[in-house]
Amino acid sequence: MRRIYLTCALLACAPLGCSSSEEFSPWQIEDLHGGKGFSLRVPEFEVPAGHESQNCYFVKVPDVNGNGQDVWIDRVLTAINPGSHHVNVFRVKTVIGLDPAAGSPTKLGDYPATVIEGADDYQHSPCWASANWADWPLIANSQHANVGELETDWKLPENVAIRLTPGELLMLQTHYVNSTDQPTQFGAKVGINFYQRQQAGTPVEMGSLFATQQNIRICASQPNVTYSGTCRFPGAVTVAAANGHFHKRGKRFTIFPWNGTSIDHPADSSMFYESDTWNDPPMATDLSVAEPANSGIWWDCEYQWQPPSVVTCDDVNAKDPLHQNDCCYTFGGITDVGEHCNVFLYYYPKVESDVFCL
Amino acid sequence: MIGAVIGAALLLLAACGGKHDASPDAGPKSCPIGDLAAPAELEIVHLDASDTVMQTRPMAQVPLLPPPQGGWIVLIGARARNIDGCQTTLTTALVDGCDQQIIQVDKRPTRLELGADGWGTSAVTMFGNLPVCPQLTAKRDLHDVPYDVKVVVEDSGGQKASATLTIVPTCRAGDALCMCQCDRDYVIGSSCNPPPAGGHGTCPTPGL
Repeated sequence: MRRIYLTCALLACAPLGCSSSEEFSPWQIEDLHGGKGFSLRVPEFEVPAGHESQNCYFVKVPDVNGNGQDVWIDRVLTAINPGSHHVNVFRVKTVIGLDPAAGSPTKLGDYPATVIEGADDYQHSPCWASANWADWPLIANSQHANVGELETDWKLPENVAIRLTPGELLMLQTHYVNSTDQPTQFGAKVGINFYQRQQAGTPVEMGSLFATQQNIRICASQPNVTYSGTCRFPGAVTVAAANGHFHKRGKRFTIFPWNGTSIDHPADSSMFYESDTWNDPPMATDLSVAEPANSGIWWDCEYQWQPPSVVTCDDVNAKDPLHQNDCCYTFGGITDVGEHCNVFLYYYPKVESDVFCL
Repeated sequence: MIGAVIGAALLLLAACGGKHDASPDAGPKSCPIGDLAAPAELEIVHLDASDTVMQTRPMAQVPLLPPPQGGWIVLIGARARNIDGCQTTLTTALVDGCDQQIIQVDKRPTRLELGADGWGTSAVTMFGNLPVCPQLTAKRDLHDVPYDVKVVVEDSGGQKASATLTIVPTCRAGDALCMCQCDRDYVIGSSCNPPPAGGHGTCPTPGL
């Protein structure tokens, strides 16, 4: 069945005219060295049509100043070829089943690294098992890459920066899709520049919030559903950037401030993030949302069920832990068989630790 | 010629559809449970570790369960009547009874399945997923300590009911990871060896 769908996609694509490589200019961004910061470059790879690819790369934060002192990052520039579903960078914490030492040697630009290639084996590869990085704080991410705009330039607010420690282990995760609705026509290519803050003095530290709705079901018999959740901050903070993440059934993703005392939905007028594009969601990088003590966020994921485009409902049903046999998309996996409802958000000042709402 | 090619391509795309086709024009299904002209009534239920629906009593020990991406949740549902069981939204909230701060809210669609007693109970696949721990903002331990759960059901016609009960989220006996990650002082990413000291079940003194 997989071959039939792929054949259909290719036959339909050709006469309708898909983008050609003649129109495409690959991204080029500067390479950072020394005190300016550091650049990570993922070795280019291809994603077979009708497949997905998730890779987990491990690399240590370089000692860019040569003195072992913390590296404060105030700008993150990502450059990504189209077809990318997400690029996430985490700090490695508890190692469960995704062991950096078990990876194959590679290099991310100038830096030695290891990689565990997950291909689209979401059922077996540790690079697909999100429990393996459940306590790994996110430090930067981008889901944005289209032919017209390959770069996301995130400049942090004045006097706010991400603190990295030389030798600290990072995990850079790439997820590419090569289907008709998220094609990888020009090969997978990812680069990230971490720019070191040049001003003197210690800045305010940026923290991250990761929140997810793990128990979601988008089923054929109930095609239009919305899931909502909340997540609290440890103190008064300012939200600086945010983006939402869902898969093909996602229709609208919204985030609001939440007062921490009401179960009523926040006013629509207070919404500070909205996405209606699952395969190229915007990242809001110019936010300045004041959150008082004891407050948090409220987020909504709206879905409309649709049949899978590459695999079949049999594959979707096989993944359903409750075996409802209703073509229910559930948490995790490749975009064609599973769903997500995740918030990636950045705030300052970081208090105690990064925030997780699992 | 071009039109014929496009037509063929569209036919191919149509042929690629699965046996399930979304039918947004079908309209929402209605399943009245009881008398929709009477006030809606609600009782709280929860799932145990084997997905059995349990009536939730005051101070009930409700099991903390591990979802796929870590953490510990309780699964809370509704038993209701005088409401449309097919067009129902379920809101569940975990509340710290010490200061009435809401720790977490979960809102989702649910479907009430009619029982022989004339009440509808949340389908097992559609219980509220209420994350309990870890919580960076916890002021007390989150396991074996009383917390309030608030439940609201509302149908598309405006029939609505709410209920609140005190429950005791409970780790499975001997589950050291659960007890560690549900300790007040656990910080995500930190080691559970040794585990936090525990024993923080009482309400904090105001002002401290």
